[in-house]
Amino acid sequence: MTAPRIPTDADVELARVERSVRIDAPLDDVWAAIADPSALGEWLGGELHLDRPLGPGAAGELVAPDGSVRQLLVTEHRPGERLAWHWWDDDELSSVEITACPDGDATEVHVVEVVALARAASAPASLASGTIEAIDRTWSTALPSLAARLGRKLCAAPA
Amino acid sequence: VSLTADAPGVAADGEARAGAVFAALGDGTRRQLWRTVVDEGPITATALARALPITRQAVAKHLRVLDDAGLVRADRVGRELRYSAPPGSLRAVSEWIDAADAAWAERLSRLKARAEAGA
Repeated sequence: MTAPRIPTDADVELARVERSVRIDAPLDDVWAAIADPSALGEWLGGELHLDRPLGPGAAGELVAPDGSVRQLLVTEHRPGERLAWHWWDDDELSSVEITACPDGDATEVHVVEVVALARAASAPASLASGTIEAIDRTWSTALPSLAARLGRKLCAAPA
Repeated sequence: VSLTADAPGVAADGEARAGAVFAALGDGTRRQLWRTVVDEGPITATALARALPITRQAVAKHLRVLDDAGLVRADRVGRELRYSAPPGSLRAVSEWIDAADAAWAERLSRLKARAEAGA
């Protein structure tokens, strides 16, 4: 099983979506719903199964109610600040970053999803450890500027 | 989770086509080839092979993949096939963006409802 072929030039980004939502709840409560795999899976729209606690390298799958499966690899987790992962199916691989910032008694959540280009024929179909390592290696070596490409959103300094 | 599950308005064939486009453009050489066709088309495979550091055979192979994904179109002019990029050939990408955007709207709405209910 081979990892997705990830292009190495700066033009890898083909599509991007960004969305923000203001949630009338404190950051701790919001992050609890982001960092708990069960809650995360629920609001993502499925059941999330990870092979280890949420953190870099945690791998698993998100199973939708219709049975479709999306593989997922967590790349970063800074509690209360940022959660990032790659996920993919047979067709494409994309990268997601969720950031949260306190805004008074509320919380501003920002999400960015960027499509990376993966060949359908070589997309991984299982979570064999070698596959995950290969993906991780590919991303860490080929795309060192992923964070920059995702356009990390920083919280404004408190007034 | 599939985009179609979260965004029922998007046809499954649109998603499959997006996959074909992503796959076709997932190769750096093909991206370069496609851009040359976009910039200089209509252009023959021979001219493409001259413009790029790849063989005529490789050009033909990559053009077939791009053609299958709907990213290039071949028109016969006399004895030559001339390749060009059809208008809207990246429509699948915009469809993916629409679907992903709708999916995140739903997801963030669920996150908001959940967090606010627990607050």
